[in-house]
Amino acid sequence: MFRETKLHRFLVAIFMVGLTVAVSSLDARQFRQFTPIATPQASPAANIPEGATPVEDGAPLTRQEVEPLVRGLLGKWNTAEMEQTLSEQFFDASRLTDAVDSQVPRDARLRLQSIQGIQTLQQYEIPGSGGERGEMVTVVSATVTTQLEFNSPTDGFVRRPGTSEFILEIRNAAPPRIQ
Amino acid sequence: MIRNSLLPTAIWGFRSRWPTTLTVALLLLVWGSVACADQLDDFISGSGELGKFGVDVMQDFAEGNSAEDTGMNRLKDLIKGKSLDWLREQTTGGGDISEGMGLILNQIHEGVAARGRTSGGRQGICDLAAINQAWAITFDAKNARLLRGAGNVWFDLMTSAIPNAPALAEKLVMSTGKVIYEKTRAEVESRIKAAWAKTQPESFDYSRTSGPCTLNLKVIWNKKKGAYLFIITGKCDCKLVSGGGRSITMRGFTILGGGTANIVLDDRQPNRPKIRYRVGRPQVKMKADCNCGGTTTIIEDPPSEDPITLPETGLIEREVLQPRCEACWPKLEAVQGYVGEINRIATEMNTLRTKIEAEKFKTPERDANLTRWNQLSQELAAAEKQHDKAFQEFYDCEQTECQLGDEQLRYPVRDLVSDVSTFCEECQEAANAVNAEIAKLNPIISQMNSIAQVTKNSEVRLGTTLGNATYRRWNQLLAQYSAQNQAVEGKKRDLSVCRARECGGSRWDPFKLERPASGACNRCKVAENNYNNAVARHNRAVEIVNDYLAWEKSHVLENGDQSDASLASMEAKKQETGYRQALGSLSRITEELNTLGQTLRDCIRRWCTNVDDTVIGIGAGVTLTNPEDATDRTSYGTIIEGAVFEPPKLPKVPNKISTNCTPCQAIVEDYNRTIDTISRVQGELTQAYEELRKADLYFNVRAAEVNAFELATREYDANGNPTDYIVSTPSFESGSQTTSSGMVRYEQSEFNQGRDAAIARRDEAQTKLVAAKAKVQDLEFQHDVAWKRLTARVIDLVRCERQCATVVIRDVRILTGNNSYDPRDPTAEDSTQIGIGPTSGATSTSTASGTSPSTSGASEPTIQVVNNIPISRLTLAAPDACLANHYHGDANNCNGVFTVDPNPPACGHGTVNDVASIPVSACPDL
Repeated sequence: MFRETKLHRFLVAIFMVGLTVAVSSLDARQFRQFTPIATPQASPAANIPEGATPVEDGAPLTRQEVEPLVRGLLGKWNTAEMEQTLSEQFFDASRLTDAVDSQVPRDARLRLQSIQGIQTLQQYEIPGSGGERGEMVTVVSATVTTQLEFNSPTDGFVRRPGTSEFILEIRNAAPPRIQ
Repeated sequence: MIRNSLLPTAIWGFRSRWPTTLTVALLLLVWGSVACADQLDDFISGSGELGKFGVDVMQDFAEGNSAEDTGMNRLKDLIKGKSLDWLREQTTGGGDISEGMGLILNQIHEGVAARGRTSGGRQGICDLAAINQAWAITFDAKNARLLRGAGNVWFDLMTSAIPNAPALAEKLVMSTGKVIYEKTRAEVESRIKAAWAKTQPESFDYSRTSGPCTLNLKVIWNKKKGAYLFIITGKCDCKLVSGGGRSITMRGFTILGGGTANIVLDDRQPNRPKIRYRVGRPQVKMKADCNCGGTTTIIEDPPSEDPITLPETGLIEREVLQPRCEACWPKLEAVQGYVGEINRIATEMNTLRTKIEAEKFKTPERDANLTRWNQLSQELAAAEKQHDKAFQEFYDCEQTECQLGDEQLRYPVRDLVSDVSTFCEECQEAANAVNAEIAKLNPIISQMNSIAQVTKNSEVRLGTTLGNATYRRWNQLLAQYSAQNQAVEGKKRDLSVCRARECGGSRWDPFKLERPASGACNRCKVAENNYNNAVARHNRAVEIVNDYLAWEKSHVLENGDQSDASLASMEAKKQETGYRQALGSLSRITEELNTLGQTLRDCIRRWCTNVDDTVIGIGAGVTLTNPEDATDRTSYGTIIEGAVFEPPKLPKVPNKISTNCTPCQAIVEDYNRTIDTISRVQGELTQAYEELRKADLYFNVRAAEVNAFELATREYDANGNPTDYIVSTPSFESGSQTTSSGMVRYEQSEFNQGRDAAIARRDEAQTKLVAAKAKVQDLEFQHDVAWKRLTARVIDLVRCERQCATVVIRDVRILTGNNSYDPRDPTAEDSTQIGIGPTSGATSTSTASGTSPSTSGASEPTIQVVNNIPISRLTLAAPDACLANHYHGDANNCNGVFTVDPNPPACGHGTVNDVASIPVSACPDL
């Protein structure tokens, strides 16, 4: 019985000490208030050009279809054709090309190492004129592992691996419409 | 006296022509006999001193009883004596005069006519009378063929006696040459003439009557001498003979003459020498005796009646043409000009014709008018030719210059178009559409009629102000008319289609009975029963109506329909039979039938996979009107239940495509070929649908006819039970009987015969219907296959063209490691750390976006912030409403306070000019 009383008292004492320490710590700080960041609701027709119509039954692109396209894009990196691989929507495209021109060694090449995942984000059609077929635009997200390779005068051969999510805009002729 | 004066002349005339004194003596001898009036009869009969008439030629006359006998005897002598067998064929097959004699007779006629022109004075009247008579007989004689029936046999001794003469001459010419021929020509001619001289004389004898006179002509041709002699005698018995416009009594006359008739060698064509005749005009002497009993009566002849009837010369109706365009107005003016010219000539000719035809006798004035008539005829022909040419030019001009093409619209004076009515409510809208277009068309027609009437009556001519304005207005209306008329016709076609499909029977038929439905699948049996119940009620009502109408017909025929008693009887019968109730219920049941029929049809189409052909045409377009309004209550219309097959709407044929992607060309070509196939199949399918619709309609009609026969056998007795072999179809009139109720009773055999024929027609129609369906199914299968192929090609094309897709990068979002598309530092080893601390590696000296080399000390890095927010947490936006690059976004600031975008539509947190660099220590929320 005695042993039980002493143990009980010991535990209460420990609790009280801990509580005191906690209260003293709270005095030095304040609680932060976390609120969710507001984002607009996405809709199928959002972010498509005027006059374009979203494709309801879109045909997702496969890895086999995307891979050569990505490979082609990366092959033009640090070349004169690089600017043509950038969409008008690419932010600061001119700054990027300036940076590549000024900062990147001439022999630097970007090599495709793997494509981890492909997801078709959006498909819409831009109607043609004069009875001609229109154009179908497919926006694809591809998670690509690349490796930047170049020779440094000081460090020798340099590798810069990296993984990025590429947002690609693929355009081809719209399929003919039949009822 | 006369005799003495004529004699020296005769001697002088013949002396120069007849070479021998013997001949002259002969003529004197003959003349002596002729000159004696008392011996005239003997001379004419050939007796008396005429037996001494001349040498050989006169002997020929004396040897035979007739010229024919003389000729035949001469021929026989020739054949016997000289064995001229070939002559036998030439002569026995004859019967006509020789060619030489024909020429002689012609010259005799001319000589007599010439002699008549020299006569004058009182004796001239007598001579003219004689010449007139002689002219008649010589005219006959020269037309030798008129003599064929006279029994004379003549033969041409010339051609038969020396048949080898031409060949002989030709042989000489061809074999000896021209020089030798010239030397031998005299010999040839002498040989020919020697042969000719051996031929025998030819004679001619012919008699006829002419008025009061009996005439005779005798001719003798002595070929050896190359001369002919003729004598014409006339015996008139002191009767009046016409001569030179007057008549004179005449006893008789004698005309004597002669001339040369020989052959010559004609070598004007050296290669074709031939023998031809040369016959001279005769010298003619005559003696006419007009002394009858000491008095000579001369009377004036009345002028001969010689009326002339000339052909009609009609005027050309003056047309006011309606030219279609101004370009052809000059051409039209030319046409109108020739029309006027023709009418002017025709008017003058008509006047002349009246004058000419009114004059029965030949007068100088009439001759002058005839001359003028002939002249005008030529002018008229020329003008008509010019008119036709001008009109053709005008017509050609319109064809090439004027765009309005319908010839019939040149004179579209047509009646106004009446409004159309329709037969059923389903087509009311289509009928209204037609009427609306007609309402626009009629005002145009009215205006055109008005103009046409004006131009026709007043001859408004082109070139005038009124004419030009009129035609211009006409052409405007013509264009409007054409367009509006097409619109009307188009709407009418729509209405026709609607009527055929929706309205069914086109007129009221009180005996129309609906065909019960059968053959629906179980799922539609309820709908079928509902429909058939309505049919039964409809039929019963129709039968009641028919019964009453049949009774009324016989009642009216027997009692009339105007008396009070008769009207009362009819009203009582209506009450008794329930006629009014049945009539009233018909329209209601009809509507019900349409609804139930449509329901059943829809059900069958939806649920019954094996649709029976006999049930697909149920209940369409049954329309009845009040039989009281019918004009012919006994007429039986054709039962038409309306078209029921509704062709499905075919998908629109897609357009052909092309591609810029070379590897996909083959797919595109196959796609386009498939389009062609679909287009062709759809064309055939549309036609097949139409054929099926017609076959369906036709079958319904035939099926309804069969049904009518079955239903027609039902006449109900007092207990309501149908009786057999009583039909009410009037196509079996023969052998019919009339029942007490007014119905018509027919023999069963007749009924069966008609029903069997109807069944045969229905079966034939069903065969065609099945064939049409099979064709449709075949084409639909082809269409489906082609469409699936087209779909497959689309999928192939989409996949293929991805090879040729163009790709651009919209964004590259770093996850780990290097991001070569980061404009701040494409070669950074870890792009996520750009802007946080100093970079390392090969590019450590670069200036990355968001960071700046430290300016305060080597150990204190800095960070760029705007609005106290690290710019790496914000989005840089291009100039828009804000004129410079600026930053947007909601993020924590350096103190950890969540900060929303203070100015989203404009510069947000601030522009790049507002960016400041602060030590990292000044931003504890990093």
